[in-house]
Amino acid sequence: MTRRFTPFLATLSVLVSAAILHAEPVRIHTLDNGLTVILKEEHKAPVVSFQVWYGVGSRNEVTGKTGLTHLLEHLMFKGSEHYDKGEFSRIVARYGGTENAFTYRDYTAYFTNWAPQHLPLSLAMEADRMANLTLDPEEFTPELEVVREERRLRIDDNPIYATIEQMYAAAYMAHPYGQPVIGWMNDLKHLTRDDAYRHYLAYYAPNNATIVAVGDFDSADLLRRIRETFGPIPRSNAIPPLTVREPPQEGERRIILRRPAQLPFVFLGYHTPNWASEDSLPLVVLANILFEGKSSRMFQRLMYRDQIAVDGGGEYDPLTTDPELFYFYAIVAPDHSADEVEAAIYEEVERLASEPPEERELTRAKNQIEADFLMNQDSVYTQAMQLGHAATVGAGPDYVTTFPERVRKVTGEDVMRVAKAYLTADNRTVAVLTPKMAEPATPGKEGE
Amino acid sequence: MTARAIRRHGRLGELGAALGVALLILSAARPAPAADLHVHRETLDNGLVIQVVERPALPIVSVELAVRAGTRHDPLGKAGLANMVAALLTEGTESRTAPQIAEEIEFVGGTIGSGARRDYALVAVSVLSRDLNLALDLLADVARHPAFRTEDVERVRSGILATVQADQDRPGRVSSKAFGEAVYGDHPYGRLEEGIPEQVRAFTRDDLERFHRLFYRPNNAVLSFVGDVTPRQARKLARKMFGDWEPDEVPQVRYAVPEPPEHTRLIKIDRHITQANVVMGHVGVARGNPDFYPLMIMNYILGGGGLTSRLADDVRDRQGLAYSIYSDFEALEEPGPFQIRFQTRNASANQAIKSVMEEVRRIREEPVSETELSEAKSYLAGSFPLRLDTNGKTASLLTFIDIYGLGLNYFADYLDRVNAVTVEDVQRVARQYLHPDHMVWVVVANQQEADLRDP
Repeated sequence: MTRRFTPFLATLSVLVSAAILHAEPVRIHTLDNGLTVILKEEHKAPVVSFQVWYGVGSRNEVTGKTGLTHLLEHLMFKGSEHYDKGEFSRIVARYGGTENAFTYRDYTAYFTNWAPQHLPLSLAMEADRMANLTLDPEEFTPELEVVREERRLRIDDNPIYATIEQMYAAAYMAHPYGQPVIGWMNDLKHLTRDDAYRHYLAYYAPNNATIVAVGDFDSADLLRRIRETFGPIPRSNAIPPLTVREPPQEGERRIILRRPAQLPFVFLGYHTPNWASEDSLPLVVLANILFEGKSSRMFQRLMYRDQIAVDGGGEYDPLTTDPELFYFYAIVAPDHSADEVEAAIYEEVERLASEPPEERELTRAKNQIEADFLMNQDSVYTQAMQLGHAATVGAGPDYVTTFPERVRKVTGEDVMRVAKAYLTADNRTVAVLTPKMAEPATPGKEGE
Repeated sequence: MTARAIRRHGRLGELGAALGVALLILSAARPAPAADLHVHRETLDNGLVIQVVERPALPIVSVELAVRAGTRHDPLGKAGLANMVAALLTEGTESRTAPQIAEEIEFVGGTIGSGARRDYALVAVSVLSRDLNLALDLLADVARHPAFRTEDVERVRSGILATVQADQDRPGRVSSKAFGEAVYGDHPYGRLEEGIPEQVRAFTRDDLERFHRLFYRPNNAVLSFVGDVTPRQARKLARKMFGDWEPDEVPQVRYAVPEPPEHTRLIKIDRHITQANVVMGHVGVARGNPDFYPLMIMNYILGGGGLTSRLADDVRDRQGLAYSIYSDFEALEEPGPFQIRFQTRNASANQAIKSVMEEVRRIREEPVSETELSEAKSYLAGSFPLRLDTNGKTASLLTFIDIYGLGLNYFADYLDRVNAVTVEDVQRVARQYLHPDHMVWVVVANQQEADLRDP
């Protein structure tokens, strides 16, 4: 077959601008009690994603109490003044909805996706657990056990995630981003019901929360209902401020994790600024060139050309409250070494720090970012996630809607400059999972 | 592993992912009423079925080509061939190298991917609608003209074998593999899609080409479009890119599904881990089974209904023994597996298994309550808009409906079939299709700590 189509060399800017122009506006309101409300109508399907984002994550945890935010998230399903334990989930299921929640370093978020006629139930249930969580001591202990099972599943029996956990712990000396979101196992044995309740009282307040709804509703009507339901919840004047800053890194840090494992795993990261810095946009483009798709430099180098990794890639997410990491990962292929993989990564980094990307590569990165923007609009859930995320870390919903046009201005020189500035040996933390022979399985002490 | 997957901790994360699989499998059971989904369907002269759902709201399109060339069609002694052929489609054609394929689609911000499921292979593309020509050109090229060049074959083969090796560190994969082998013997449903490493090592280029030539035929495939595309455009493009694809007789493949064991079998696998990874189950049903709807409802009540199911309520909420627990009937072309899966710390494995067995027996011996039945029905009826709320999900559903021969009247019939199920039906199918004394239990754990009791 011959190639009948020459790909367009122009960017997609005209198209994307048109799409933005025709999109419904994002409306932002702040209630008197400080609650932020972000609404976007989307009428192409009879669904809505209703989300509540709280500005509390593992970032707000102290030594000895790690995992508290995530545990509290679980306990938010165990009943509030007007809804029994599990009733939230039962009601959502009864009407064909899906609900879930997630906790990360900067936030805790709750979502329900269902038909718009059920929005009044979303409002009533979310407002009740924002203001009147029961936190029954009887429910506390089994749920703590559930979370410990979750830790065993995700981290303790998973050498890759265990490596990632240790890398973050080494990369951050002062800032709580070094603490695992799920919590250290020993902390999970000592958290109490009162710890969780104090955490709830401290952080679950309207002026520390953002409501996001995207879907098939009328904004004026929904906003009125939100005011009625959430307006009476009092603001908190005691949300603990967090002033901690990570000191600059002045030399490579290395972590070795020795575990029974089939293949070595490399996870390495560089401290980078977040959305608040102008450098975040070139860093996004840099990450795209390195990691996005099979035409990316890391895929082409590690999996296609050298074939030294089974899987490899990385990510840079500028949407964090405090500066985070630009990270690379690779599962090393059989008969190859972590050293080889590390060397190849550094060579690719060096190349981008010393010469700008090719023009076509830069255009591809921008095209991908713009196309993603359009494709993400297909899902009300994804749109609400992005808006809630950007709002909660302080970037604001505009960050999402203006992202493609700002990325378009990034030059090849910018990309080279940020690669050179941030992806340096002194600024990186490297963790390597080094397989050791499995000993016969014997009773072991868990997580201590 | 995606970057995102590394990072979030959710109340339902893993379970959500697990349910995602189950929902995909059952997704055909949750569609919109006919009025909400207008499907244009036609068949080209060479037998290729085309399905189109037009959604002009956004300038994007998802297209899926499904070919009845899944792991079920692996030839005897060549376990993993279907998977390797599917993986190689996007790794080089007669006129394009692997990097060229990736670069062409990614330059315009699109994606292409291919892979094998149990009953079919899939190539999926997603692009802006202005690039639909390019997308279809690529889709047709990779599906029809894969080159199977030596360097591509060896690269993909090494990747598959390394994945199999890496899977030994994943207790969930270890338990799946052992469960499949014990329940299905030599039947392909018993294998992970990668197949059997010794056989994968021996595949020749001739094996790959032959499998492709036999199964990748227009009369064995369905092409589904969803998004900013009209039926007229879709037809024109399909004719242009696939019109000269030659039909041929396609071999019918069917292996015998083994009989259940006389008594429940326990398979223990010793690993240096903190949790017992447990899979319990047996052969289930085919998608064509007339009892599919009552079974779906029975399973929803038992363990399919996320955190509201009986298993989750007992084992997770009441006892705090597991983060994730669910049951699933994977209804396939031939009878697929029924399984209950959970993880619990080694020392509580016996207690959790006992609780699971009590729930399995209870749903057979006692009728479910009217409330449970009505809540299951209202979930299944109410959740369909969410099964169709993106182009990608809708394209998958169209594929599913064609592959399993559900027919377009399926939409209209769905609510009636769900609503017709009675408490008696639920108990009848529980008795007929749950076999608590003829199960396979696989427990991957630190066996000394787990100290398992015999079934």
